[in-house]
Amino acid sequence: MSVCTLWRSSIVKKWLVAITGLVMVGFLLGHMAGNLQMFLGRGPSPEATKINEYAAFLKANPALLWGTRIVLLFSVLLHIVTTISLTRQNRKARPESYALRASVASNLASRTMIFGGLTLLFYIIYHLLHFTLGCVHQELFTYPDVYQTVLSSFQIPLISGVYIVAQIALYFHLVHGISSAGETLGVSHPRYRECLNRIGIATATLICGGFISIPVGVLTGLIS
Amino acid sequence: MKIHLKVWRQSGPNQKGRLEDLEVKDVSPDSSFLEMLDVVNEGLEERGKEPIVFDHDCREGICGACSLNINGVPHGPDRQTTTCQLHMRSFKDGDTIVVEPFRARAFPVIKDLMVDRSAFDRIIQAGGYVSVSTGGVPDANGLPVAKDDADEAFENAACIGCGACVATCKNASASLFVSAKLSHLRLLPQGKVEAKTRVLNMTQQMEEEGFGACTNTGDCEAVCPKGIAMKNISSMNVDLIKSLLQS
Repeated sequence: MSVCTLWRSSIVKKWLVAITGLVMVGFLLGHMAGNLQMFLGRGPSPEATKINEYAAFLKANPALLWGTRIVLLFSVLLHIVTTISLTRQNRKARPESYALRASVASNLASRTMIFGGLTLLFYIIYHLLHFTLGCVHQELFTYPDVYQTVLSSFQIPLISGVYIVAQIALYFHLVHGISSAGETLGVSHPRYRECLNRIGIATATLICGGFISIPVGVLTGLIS
Repeated sequence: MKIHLKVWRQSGPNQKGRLEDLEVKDVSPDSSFLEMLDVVNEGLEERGKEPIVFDHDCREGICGACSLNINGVPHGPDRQTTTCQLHMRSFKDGDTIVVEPFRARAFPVIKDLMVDRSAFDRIIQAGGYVSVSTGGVPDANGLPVAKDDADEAFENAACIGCGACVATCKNASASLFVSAKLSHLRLLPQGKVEAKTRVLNMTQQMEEEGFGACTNTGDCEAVCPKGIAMKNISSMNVDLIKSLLQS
């Protein structure tokens, strides 16, 4: 079975999308939990601040840091390439659209995955330039004092707003993505599907709620 | 009843089509949707105009010949009902009804509302059968089948291959149809023998016919006139991956 033959199967591609998507969900859970350390506040010095200690710990473990980054980069790229390929196939499958089309069971989240995904791609690029590389908002980048960078960034309402909007896009992407991944990978019984939908909503709420709590915490002065 | 129809008219496969407005008076609420179209066609013919071409056969909801996207939904607003079993009492007096053909690259329009669904036949030819050496009639209960399996196989055998799943899917995916046929045969002892090659061949043919991929939106299950469940698609995905790993 050659790679080309496998690539021609939309079901194989769906599996790749589902597995890489779940890898990213796993990462997001860890990333969100790490970020919540912002709520532990500032220590007596930048070095003794919890989230800065965490950042230093990651930096001191290159195998962990780069291992995660490589797996993640591979997953993101594969997820994007496969979904774009599938979307092109899907667009081609209906060259003439209906004058009137009603959706019976599908919802906005499930119909807009590609747009949500592309929005998130631009957001991730901005996010990396902001917090990881310090290329945008250079004046706010105070690495290794991560706490200060996050604090002074989210004190600007526009930046907080962009992050919150991105999280809402992420929420819709995850609500359908998680349950859809489960269905693609074989969770088939209607009873488990119901359960899967709930897991999707709960996980998406946990991840996005956790991330949003930080800019909200900064803007309300809970984190200072 | 008085109905305002907006019907897709297209003179041939490669012609440009358009929605035509038709006023239909004195529609009986007890007539089926197809009977209403019959009356419209009689009127058109009396006036020397081309009747509207549409697919139909048994008119009792079991053959899968009738189609039509009615007000944006394949087979119209009633759940688990084919167009031939849809009655005009499901609409209100003075309603505007938009009637379009099933739309997919794999279902090219032949004329007006009639589409070519032979892509489904080719998928069946690729593996949707059981090869048997003919001989004497087997003994009853010679091949025991578990009740749950028999029931599930039967539920999927109810698929009439109308193509509503493709028509409603935002990706024009045939996953529900193909997976129903696979489950129907896979669950029975006679069909198990060829299960591995069947899933490979039928899904390959599905791709070659130009259908889209499933994104689990659930519209197919909701419009299926026979209530075929989406869980078959999950089973098909797993079976295909297993077959690929073993081949």
